[in-house]
Amino acid sequence: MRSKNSSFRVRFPTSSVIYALLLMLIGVASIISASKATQPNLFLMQLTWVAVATFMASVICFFRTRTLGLIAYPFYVGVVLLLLGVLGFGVVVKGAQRWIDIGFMRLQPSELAKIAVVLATAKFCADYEVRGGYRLRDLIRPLNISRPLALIAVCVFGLLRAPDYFWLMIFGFVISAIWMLFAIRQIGQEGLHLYQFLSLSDLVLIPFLLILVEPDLGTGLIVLAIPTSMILFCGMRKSSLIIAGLFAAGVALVGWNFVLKDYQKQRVHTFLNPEADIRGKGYHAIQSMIAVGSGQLLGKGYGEGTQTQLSFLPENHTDFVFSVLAEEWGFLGAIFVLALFLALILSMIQIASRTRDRFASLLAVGAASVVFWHMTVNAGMVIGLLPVVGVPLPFVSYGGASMLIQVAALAICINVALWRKVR
Amino acid sequence: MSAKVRLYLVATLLALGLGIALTKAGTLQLLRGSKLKHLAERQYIRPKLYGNYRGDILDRKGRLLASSVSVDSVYAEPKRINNATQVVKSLGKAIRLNRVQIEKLSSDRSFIWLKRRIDPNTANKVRNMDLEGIGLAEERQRFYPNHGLLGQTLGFVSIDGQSLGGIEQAFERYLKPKSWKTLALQDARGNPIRQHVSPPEEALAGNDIMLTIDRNIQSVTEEILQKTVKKHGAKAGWAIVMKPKTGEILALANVPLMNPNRPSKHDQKARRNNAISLTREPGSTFKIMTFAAAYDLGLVKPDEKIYCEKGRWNLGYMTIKDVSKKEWLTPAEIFKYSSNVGTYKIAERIGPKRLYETIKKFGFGELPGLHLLEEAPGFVSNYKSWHKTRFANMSFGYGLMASPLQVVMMVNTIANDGLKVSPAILKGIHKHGADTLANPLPSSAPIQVISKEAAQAVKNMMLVEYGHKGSARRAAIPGMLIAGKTGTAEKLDDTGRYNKKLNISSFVGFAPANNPQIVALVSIDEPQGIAFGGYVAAPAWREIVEAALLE
Repeated sequence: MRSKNSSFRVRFPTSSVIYALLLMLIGVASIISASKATQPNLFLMQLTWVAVATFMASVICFFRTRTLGLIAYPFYVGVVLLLLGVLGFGVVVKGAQRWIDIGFMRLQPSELAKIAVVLATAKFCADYEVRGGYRLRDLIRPLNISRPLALIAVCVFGLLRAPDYFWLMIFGFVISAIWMLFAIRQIGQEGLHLYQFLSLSDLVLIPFLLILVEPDLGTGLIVLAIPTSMILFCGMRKSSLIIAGLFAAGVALVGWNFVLKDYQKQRVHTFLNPEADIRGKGYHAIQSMIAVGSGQLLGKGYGEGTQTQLSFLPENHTDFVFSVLAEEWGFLGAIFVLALFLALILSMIQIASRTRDRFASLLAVGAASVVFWHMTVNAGMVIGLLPVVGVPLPFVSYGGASMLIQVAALAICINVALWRKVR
Repeated sequence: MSAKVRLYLVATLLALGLGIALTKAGTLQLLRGSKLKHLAERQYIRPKLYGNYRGDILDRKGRLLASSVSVDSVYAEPKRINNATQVVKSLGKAIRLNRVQIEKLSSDRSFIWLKRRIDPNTANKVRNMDLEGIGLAEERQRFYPNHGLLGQTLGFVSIDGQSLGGIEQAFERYLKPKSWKTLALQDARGNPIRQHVSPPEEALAGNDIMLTIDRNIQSVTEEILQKTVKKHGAKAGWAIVMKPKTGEILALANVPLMNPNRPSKHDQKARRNNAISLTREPGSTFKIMTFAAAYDLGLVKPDEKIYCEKGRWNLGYMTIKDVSKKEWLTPAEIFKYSSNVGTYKIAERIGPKRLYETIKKFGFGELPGLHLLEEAPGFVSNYKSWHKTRFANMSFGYGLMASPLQVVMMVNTIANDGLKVSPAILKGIHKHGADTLANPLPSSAPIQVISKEAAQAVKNMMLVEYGHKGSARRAAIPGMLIAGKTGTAEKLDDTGRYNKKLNISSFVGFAPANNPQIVALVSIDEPQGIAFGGYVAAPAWREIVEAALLE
């Protein structure tokens, strides 16, 4: 809580902004090269998006950090409703329901979810602090009142739909009643709080699951990874961490066998052995590796990348823009871009570590996670370390949504740096 | 955890992740870079090879022996085909497609051959269909208008323009132009980005080459050989006809014939050019060498008489036998009756060293110099390793290996009065667009290997007058004096022993004897019945030489 007599020192995070601008510049240059034969004016669109994003960033920086905390939950709820809306009446493209048509454009709520989870998680963790770090039960909170309530709802639904299982439902009600007693006792001890109804794990898993069933595994995992990084950063007990790790391994195992669809498994197979199916599923991966590899140390020169220019490299100005870079500028170019990202992310983490306000610090970490996970998944996919999922490279890839989300994350960081309390 | 420690931890994790990424990128770009670059090039570079336009092969009078014709081949670019079923249905009216090809048509390959070398009618049908993704490519096919004529000597060319043997391979560097390779770029859909720039037409055409062969003489020679082989139920036959003064080969025949238009119809054995490649012991024909050496060194007089031991001479280490059992013979008679005893008695006067030197001077044991790959050098061991038996055998033509061409060259040197010339089959090269004939092969100057007198003395022994008796009488030509020597060599059978039933009957000689115009050799392999060279080969020789003299 901020006291009335504390003052603010305005300090603009110049280095972070310069790194991001350099990346955008590289991006525009690569888009010009990649699209010069097919859509020569595409970079103008990208520049437009940069302008729109810059305006949005200044709006975000205008508010105090505390104000961001006020809109965190409403924004989160709005995004969850949109995600539900997508499942209800979204546009189906290539077998996935990911977009909502809002008249003049198509909105992809899963992109907004990336920012929503940053805000909500930061707010939640700031309000709900556990001495010595979170335990697993603090994250999951099995005795929350929402659990027995949910079970009752399921049983009522079951009673109406499947009366054959009457006694099972009655058993469910009994369990719910006992569970409810424990929950009420817990409320009695702790008092009435938001976390009595929604645990941190609920907060993280709701958007993840909604995105997963669209289906969009790539974005889903990123939406899961961002708040997970934040929770890890703000502190968990060592023993809980180990148990969580084992649990995650179990989930992965079950997920592989029962949850993942065939095409998703195919992607993983393709990732593990791309050469097995060069013209089919492995095409993207192979073409990307050929483009990157044929760049060698110094690259083929700007605008001279054969794989890019002759359209062997698919999606070359969006998801595979890093391949364009690596082909035309070689290994040195790839090192330079990755180093820029490292510098950017570190500068964002530094902003997080220099602020004493827990909410602000978590916001900055969340923002850094957004950039980090996109960069990692994209670069990994391009050089064949990770399976091909449609994740763009922050600031560099062509695309309005990606640009807006990444600049929003950066703007949150700038906001934190600008409105920082003096020690 | 303090904020600072936490920051370092995060930084370390980030750096670690980055390290992994950079290692992978480095592996791709630095270690596997050149391989992946090659892969990339294979995707976007479409090479086109030229250089299949071989020049013609002509005989000495400019008549065509081998030529190249244009034929069409059908190919498909399955990537561009939209409706494969329709295409298969239409194409089926013109060419037969197998199942594999039909499957490939529906794939996304960029290029497949459907049918190579189709006839002009079918080509027109396919052209008129004008199907998207189906095309005709002009290819050159080697064509031999005279079928089997000179087949083994010409060699042949495979479907991919690879020359195999004979003139085609040996003189490929003149026949085949420098190969051109042009590159075009294509994008991922197989659309050409930069087109091929065709090399100039004259750069693509090979040079014509002219041979010393006379097509008519060659044709007659082959006919007579075939007739003779058939008459005597023989396995094969070969003949060489040569111009003595220049060493130019007028005919180089091998029977059975091999048709280079259809090389696959003939087995390896039938493709052999026996006349220049088959080395074996030359037999009594080789006695010419012993007499040439003896006369050259002045070791025999034409009128002396030599005792021939009644055809059986036991030397202790070996017994030399003759067919005809005579006592006293002049050198000419020794030659005429082909007496081994008499020949060896003369050879003893010469000694191994001088005999060996003469043999080498005549070119045995060395490549005759036609520059054909099939030419065999034969084998003559050094005299220092000769024991007595080997020396004796050597004097009448056993214990060394020689090719028919080498035997012809030996007789040619006698016909040229001791002057040895190089044999030749390449008359010259017509540079494309030029009228002049150039011969790029190195030619060695003629060498006087024995004295003119000695050569004439040998020549006199070889004379065959018409109407006279002697083993060579069937070779005699009315109204003309010829010189020649019969040969009946026993072949080694499968057990490695000389077999009296397996013979090579031959006749070698020249005509007219006083002013030689034609030197020729005829050999018949494994004739049935009477196998004497004078009986089997001599009549064929006469017919061939008569025909050659007319030309």
